[in-house]
Amino acid sequence: MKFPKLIGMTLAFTSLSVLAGNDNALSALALKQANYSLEQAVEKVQNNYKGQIIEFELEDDNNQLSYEIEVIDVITKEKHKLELSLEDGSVLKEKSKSIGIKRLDDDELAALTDLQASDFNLNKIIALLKEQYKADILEFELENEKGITFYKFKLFSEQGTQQVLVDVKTGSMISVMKK
Amino acid sequence: MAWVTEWWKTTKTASSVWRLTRLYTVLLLLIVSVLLIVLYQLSIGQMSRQQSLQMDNEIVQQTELSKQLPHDEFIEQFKIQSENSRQYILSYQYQSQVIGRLNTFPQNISACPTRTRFPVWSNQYNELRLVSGCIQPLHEGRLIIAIDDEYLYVLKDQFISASLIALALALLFGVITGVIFSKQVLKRINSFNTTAALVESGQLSARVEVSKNNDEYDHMALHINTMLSQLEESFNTTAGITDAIAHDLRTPLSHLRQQIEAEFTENFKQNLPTESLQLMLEKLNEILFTFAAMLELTRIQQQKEKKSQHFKRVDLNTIIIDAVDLIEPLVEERQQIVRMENSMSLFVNGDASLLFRVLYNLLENASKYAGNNAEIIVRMIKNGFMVIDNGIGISDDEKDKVFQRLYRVEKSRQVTGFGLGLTLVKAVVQLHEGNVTLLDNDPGLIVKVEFFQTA
Repeated sequence: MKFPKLIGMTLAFTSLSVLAGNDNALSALALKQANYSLEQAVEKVQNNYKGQIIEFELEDDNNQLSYEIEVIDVITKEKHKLELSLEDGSVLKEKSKSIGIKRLDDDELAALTDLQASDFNLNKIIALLKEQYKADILEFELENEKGITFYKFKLFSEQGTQQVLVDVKTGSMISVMKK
Repeated sequence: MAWVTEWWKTTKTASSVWRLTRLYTVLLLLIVSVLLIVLYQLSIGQMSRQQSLQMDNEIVQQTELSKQLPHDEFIEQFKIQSENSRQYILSYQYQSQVIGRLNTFPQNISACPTRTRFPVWSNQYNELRLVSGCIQPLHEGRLIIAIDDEYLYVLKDQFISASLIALALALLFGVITGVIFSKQVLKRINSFNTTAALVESGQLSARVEVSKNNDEYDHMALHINTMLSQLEESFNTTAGITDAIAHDLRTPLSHLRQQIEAEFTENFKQNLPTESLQLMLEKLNEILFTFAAMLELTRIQQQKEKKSQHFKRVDLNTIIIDAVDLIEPLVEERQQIVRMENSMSLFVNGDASLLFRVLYNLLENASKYAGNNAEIIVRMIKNGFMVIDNGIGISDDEKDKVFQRLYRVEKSRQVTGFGLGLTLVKAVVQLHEGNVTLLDNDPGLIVKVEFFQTA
């Protein structure tokens, strides 16, 4: 199924601005084609690394998309940045560095502490969102604002992109205000 | 740090001043608190109440509309209203549809009029906003109404931190003024105490300092000074009369004694009876001895101002040993025992012969009044000594009087003496900046002599 990719490449050559607008659509398409799902990637990372997943996005290396997942381990004070293949989930790149807890700001630290204390299941939520919104997850990030820790997901569906926030403590959705 | 603990100690002892400071600080805090509460109610509280009132009105309005309009029309107008309302975040859920400003219906929100604070993501500000709202069940669905009142909470937080700072400042102010106030008051009171202590130690000429403020303390000081002047005068008068008597009678009595002595020698030579003359001589000697003691007492009592010039460093232990040695034959004559306990060197600046007199007087008194077979103990203590006997002791109401000139304990009238022994003891001890106290030994008496300054 090289066809959509070819379209993409053609588009890329014809108009860069169009490509930028269609970036999300192309990403979503690539995710649909992937042999290795986001859930699998998340599970693999969770099995191989202790700590918490704080960020996910699709990384584009020479038109080759990969899952880029960041993990922080508060106990060993290490931060891992992994790139997993969409094809078979193999680890394409791994970057680990140790971070002083002091270098995390208060919000980040609070987010990690809250997440650790909760019984939040990331994979379950990912599956739920995909099901409920009939959408693909393009990226997500752990955040803490005003004492509330949440994952901010960027979804792409037929209606376009939309943001969905899930409260880590309660596991419930945070409403989004239009306008 | 040191002055704080020092201040704490002094204020703790002078508890009235400390209590006043505390009361004053608490009152100050109370006033500041009340002011802050009133201020809060007039500003943020008022805003908050007004906001609730308006929101209640909006709820009533929507409820009425939902009752009056057909459902379709209600939804139409709701869509328009929710989009146009700047103040409220309005959403409506019926069946599984959500219309209005929010994309999903938030969970765990209380029913109106109780409000819940819940987070809402704002795409406009690209941040999480905390809003207050509630759910109102309507005819066919549920209404959620919320207001972005974050600014009110920010104000509240600011008000609370400002209030805490204000209270802390008030506390600090209260304590500082309290310290200054109590220090000033304590200084005055301490000057009274110092003077009283001086007078107690026998320095009757001591007077309280009078400031120029002419306040209550100065009035009190003037009264106390007048009282002290009168006291000193009457004391001097008493001492003066006895002295005058002793002084005036001493010369004629001495002459009388010389005459009797001459008579005695004459009779003795001629082998005439001398017993009655002998007796007369002894009586006269006693009287002369008393007069001498009285005059010496006055001398010691008046000496205070220019004392210490001839004082030397003396060991009380040696003086006690000497006194015990001297009294021993007399004691043994009465089948009494005298012994020393806890013997150790204790140096004081003083007059060795006067201190010896103190010891000897006390031992003599103990022996004289404790009766046969009594046991007399001289025990050295940290800054002085005690003379302990197991005799009849002195009753509480007589303990103060025995230090007066010529006073004699009722029960001991039959024992010879002139009531000057303890007066002399006290005068000498006070001359050495010390204190004499009488305690019960059950049975018996303990005379405790302490010196404030040991060398």
